Amino acid sequence: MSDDSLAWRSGEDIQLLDNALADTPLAEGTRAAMLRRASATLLAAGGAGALIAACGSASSGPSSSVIASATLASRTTSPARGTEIKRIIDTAVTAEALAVTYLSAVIRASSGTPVERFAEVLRAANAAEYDHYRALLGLGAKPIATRFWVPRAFFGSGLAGVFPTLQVAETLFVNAYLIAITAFAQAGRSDLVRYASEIAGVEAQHLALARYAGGMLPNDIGFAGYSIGSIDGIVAALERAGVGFGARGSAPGGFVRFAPPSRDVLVAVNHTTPR
Amino acid sequence: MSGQIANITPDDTRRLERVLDDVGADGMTRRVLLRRAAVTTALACAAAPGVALARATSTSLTEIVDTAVTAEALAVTYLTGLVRAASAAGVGRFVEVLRAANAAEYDHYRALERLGAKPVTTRFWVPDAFFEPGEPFKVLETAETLFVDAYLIAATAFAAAGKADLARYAGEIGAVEAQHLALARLAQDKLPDDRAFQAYAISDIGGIVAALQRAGIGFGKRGQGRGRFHEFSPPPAAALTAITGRVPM
Repeated sequence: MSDDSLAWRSGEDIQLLDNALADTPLAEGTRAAMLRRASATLLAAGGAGALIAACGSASSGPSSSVIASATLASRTTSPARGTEIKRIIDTAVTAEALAVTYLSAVIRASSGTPVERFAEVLRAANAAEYDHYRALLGLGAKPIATRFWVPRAFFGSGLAGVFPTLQVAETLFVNAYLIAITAFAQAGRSDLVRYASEIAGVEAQHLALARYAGGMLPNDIGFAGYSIGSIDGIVAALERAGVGFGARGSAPGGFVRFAPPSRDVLVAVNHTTPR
Repeated sequence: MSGQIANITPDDTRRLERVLDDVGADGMTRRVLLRRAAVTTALACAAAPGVALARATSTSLTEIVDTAVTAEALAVTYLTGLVRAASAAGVGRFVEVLRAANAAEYDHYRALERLGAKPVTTRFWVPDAFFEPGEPFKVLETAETLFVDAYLIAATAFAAAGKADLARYAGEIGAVEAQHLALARLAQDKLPDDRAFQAYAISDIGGIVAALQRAGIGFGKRGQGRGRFHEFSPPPAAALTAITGRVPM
């Protein structure tokens, strides 16, 4: 959608007008009349959710911004775009649930294996993934599944499958958040773009550390990979790797169910919410 | 509010014009608003890069990319110096990681140049202490934290301007800078993945520059403490190693 196709792209247009009005001396009543007209136009174009989002954005506190984002995620000026954004955050929260489920199991099984040396790094990664899960829930995301089929090969003898698995998974997670950045930017949601960027940076760190733990050059990339351009492509790649979302996967394994992680599989991390 | 209008970009002015069309503002109101926006935009665009670097409040896209390419030039300059002096600086164990980081920073530099970015300076004052044993990974931890923050600022600004591809490029670079940050922490035996979200402690690009200056860096002029000038140049092959994903997608 080009910039010119809609007079009102998002609540940010109202914010822009509001800023301009606040900075410019005008006759009494002009400001209120213009903003009322702008809000009515946005309401007609995008539904009540978009208007609430615009009001939340204007009030600018972090929590109101989150609420505004969540509202807009389900109702943007374009129904197709709103559906796409909802699909992205639902997939993301599902992937985070999968990550917590897998990492919790790995940490519990790590004692006496070569993975034990990296248990603290894995606990920190687990804490981060769980914080992502909670932040996405706060934005209105809903997991597609909380029961996952995980291939036995993801663990392997002596947990030899763990770091190769994490390299694949974290590469896909970084890619997923780059998809999110692109979609959120197209929807004019700069706050969501930043949140996705904040998460993508953390997933990229996990990728580098998985490579390091596997004896590989950890920082082997100039730009984080964006080889898959749709969120369904990320799901398909995970399924090809053998994961099942609420259903049996394609490789020998078993079902595991997501649950909030217990303290023994976590460690304290910083920056536990997006800004 | 008046601070926010000062950040208006040419894209914002065009959007404002469309908004006013749609609102049906009367002629006088429309002229007053657009004149004010146009003046602010002209000021932002006319600011010389050196002046722009010193302005703490401006977040124009040009200033952001010019600052980013300058930071990448600084990173290449410092990393190349570190790789060359690896033994003396006590970073020999991680020299291949530093070569890879250098290659990535140089790729960022070239990508930003292709996008039209121009370095504010290519001559940097670097404190001598930055090369002393025990210091380099502390320096890199500070620098990479600021670089990650800078690309969060960039992604936010690009998205606000409706430039989704640029927002993603910033995300792709920011993620790599975050890797460098984790590895700088790892090299100091700190928990490398100590955060759930990358830190957005500074929200304007001028603040990033100011933080680098407080750390001792000088951009085209002397910085704080004992040090010397280093001139950016394309890194030699010996200061690089082969990496993948060398252009944004």
